[in-house]
Amino acid sequence: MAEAGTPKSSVEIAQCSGVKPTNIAASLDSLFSDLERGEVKHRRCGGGNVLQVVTSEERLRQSEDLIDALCSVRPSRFFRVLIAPNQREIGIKLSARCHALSGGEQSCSEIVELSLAASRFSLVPNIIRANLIGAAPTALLLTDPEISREWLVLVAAMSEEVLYDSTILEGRTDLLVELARTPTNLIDLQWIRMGPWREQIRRLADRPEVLESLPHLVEIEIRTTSSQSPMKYGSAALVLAGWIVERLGLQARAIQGDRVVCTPKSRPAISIARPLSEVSLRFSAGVMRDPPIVAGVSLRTESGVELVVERRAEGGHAVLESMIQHRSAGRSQTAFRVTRAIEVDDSAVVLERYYGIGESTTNYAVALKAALGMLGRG
Amino acid sequence: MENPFAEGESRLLRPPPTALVIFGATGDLTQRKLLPALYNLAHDEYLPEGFVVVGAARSSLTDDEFRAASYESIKKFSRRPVEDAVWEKFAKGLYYQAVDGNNEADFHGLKDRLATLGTERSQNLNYLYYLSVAPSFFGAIAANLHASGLVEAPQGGSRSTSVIIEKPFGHDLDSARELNQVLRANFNESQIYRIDHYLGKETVQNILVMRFANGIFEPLWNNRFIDHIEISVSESIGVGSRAGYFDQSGILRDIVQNHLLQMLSLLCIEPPLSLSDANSIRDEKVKVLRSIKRLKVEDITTSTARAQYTRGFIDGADVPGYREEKDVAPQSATETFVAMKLEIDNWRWAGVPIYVRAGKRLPKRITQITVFFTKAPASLFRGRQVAELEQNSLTIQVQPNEGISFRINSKPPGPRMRVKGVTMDFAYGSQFGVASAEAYERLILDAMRGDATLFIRDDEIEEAWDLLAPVLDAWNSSSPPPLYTYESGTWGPSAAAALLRPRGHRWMRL
Repeated sequence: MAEAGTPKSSVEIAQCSGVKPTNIAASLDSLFSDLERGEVKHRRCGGGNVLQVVTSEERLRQSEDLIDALCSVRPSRFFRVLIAPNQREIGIKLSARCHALSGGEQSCSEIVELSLAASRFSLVPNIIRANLIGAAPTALLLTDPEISREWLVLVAAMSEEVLYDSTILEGRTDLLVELARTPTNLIDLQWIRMGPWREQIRRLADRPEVLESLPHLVEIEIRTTSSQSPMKYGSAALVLAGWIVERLGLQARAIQGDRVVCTPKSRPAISIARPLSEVSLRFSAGVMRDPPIVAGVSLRTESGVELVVERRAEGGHAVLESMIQHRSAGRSQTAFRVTRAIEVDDSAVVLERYYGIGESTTNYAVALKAALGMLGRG
Repeated sequence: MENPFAEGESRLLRPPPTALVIFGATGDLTQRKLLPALYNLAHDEYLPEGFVVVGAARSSLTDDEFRAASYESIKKFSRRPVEDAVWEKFAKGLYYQAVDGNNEADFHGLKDRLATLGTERSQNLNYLYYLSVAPSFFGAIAANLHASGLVEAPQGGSRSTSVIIEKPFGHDLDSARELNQVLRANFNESQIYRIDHYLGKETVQNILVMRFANGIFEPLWNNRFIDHIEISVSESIGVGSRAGYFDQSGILRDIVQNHLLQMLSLLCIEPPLSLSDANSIRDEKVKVLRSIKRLKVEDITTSTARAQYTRGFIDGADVPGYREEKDVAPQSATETFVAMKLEIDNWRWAGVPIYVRAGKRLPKRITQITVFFTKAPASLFRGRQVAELEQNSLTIQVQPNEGISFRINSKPPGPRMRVKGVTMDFAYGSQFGVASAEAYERLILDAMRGDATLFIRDDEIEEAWDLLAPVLDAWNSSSPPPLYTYESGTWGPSAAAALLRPRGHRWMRL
């Protein structure tokens, strides 16, 4: 999350309240026609819809930087639903949130804030459905781990994609299980952050000596920091492990202590380099740090080839060091080594990067399912 | 055996470790465009680890002096404000080496410097040379790079070595061929990246996406459904500080030969075999250029109009005529406006006129492509107070407001059956929110990654010159067609409108 006082790139420039559920669209039209009469050109933007449900004002505030990022990279119609325990009527507030484009124009998102008591949540889907920008994609921004599974199901059903950071859901595996079941595109910001790790593993495995030795893989080790997280090793480590296991055509059993036994699935049609026999997946936790982070990954083969990707600090920056080591007669020799810087970005920056550059999420859903399987929640 | 970790993963955009050597490092293009583009790439984390820029020019500068000058340029011209942390990291990779392009000994010095920089970084750096210098220096620099061992074979070398060059790529067909020969004597064609910065613009790249990612357009993209096409490159500025160069070239060479024909060829290509193989697209572009009917001498006056601006008003200010500009010969016959009627003589496009125009000191800066579709028969609406139906048209605005709009006919509210043209708009800013990167950012990144898709191949250059050769010959002949004039701040001479009249067309109001 952004530091306190970080200037927002978008600002709220107009609002109206006291709107009834039946005239949200008309009130938005009116709000923007007022804006468009001004000297500065305010462009009303509707690239998509974004839904969000939060259980407190504080949660609403905490997600401001993500909303800000989305307004910049995916100007949309936002529906922000606040569960307000003592609210009798449905409160509706509309606003325009704009950021400057080149040439003095402002690109404006439409913000529809609904506040209502939890008991009236069942009304929310109908209000939203009637006011979505038709034919435009809808994303659910999941920022509050306190929301109920039922609410998640209701709003996820209206969405083509769900944006979330699995770190905040480490105590809510029931929500992760629910997400893994949905047919929507899942965009976990941890997955985006872990992109450089997967890239380094892929690059190392491009080398012929690694490819040739993968059938003889005997152990995968994921090193993390220790933490108080209910997931112990953290969602990033588990999903990374799920990805490695799935890509290697392995079936992971539930974790026992710090170990997961992985057995080869039936042979896939394409000829990929994959282990031929059982592989031991081991998690090891080091120094305490919350939330936990992945510190290193090793893939060890019987033939002595070891693929290592490790995170370390270098001159005040975090870098990934990727190596291929050859072990022989108790000695280890580094055959290849490359480092690259990694950024320690907050969620808003990762979100902006996802929409700005793109990152494949093709393999995420199966990696998540494998991770949940290791937790016995598959 | 395949890599199990490759499938379904994004390939990172970061290129391999590279040293970019900019010849002409103290020049205008480097300061205004290249350094700001590199800074923005650094800001977006696209630059590889160990990335090095070596500024090379004749002046004697220290690394620190080059860094200080670079900082000022970036501060002035970058699309983003300079951030200290980004600059600090970026500046560590900036170096300067005094090099005289004609002196082979200086290139040996450069070679040693590059080797040292690679060793210091424990990186086997690729070398990318950016020739941001006058074309007259291309030959000497390319030859000296080769002679000093700074060019390696494209396959089997210890590193990738390639060269980027800027237009003009010759001033006619013969000089273009000569330039290509000089470059190919020292580099393989696959190592040569000819920049046309228009190809780095999002909207120009979007031509391909729009055509080939939308099922609705391709069935209509032919002479059965398209009536005519118009491409305009309009500038409100005059020749300014480029007068010396411009007076020797003119707008036909400066804009039409490259930017305009590149846009036309992308708009009209057949579906390429692949979008990820540079030559697939370039092969198809060459076919389009080759298929454009060459004008005969007798066609020049009916298919082209050239003109020169005179004194007038732009944005309420009085501006001088072309011949009154500094560094322009008082009797100059250089055209500042050209309009042409072209036709692609192939199965898809035969009979579809393609009108192109480019000019300086026109009312506003705008580059756009408009495709006009054939009209719907109006019989249904006859006798219902419906004026002539408007043609549907699809407009791709390349600059300044990148976007696409579509004109369709619609019924205005009211009791009468009336028909009115309305616009459906897509603006980049509205949908994607973020500002487009500068064209140079994309192109430099692609060159570092070895992707030549958005660069021009030697045969494209030669075909474009071959197409324009009859026009240039006619203009240079003893009985040239008229050189019209137009008042600054107007849309060019009436002769330009006359080109369209035989088919009942008119230039679109921009």
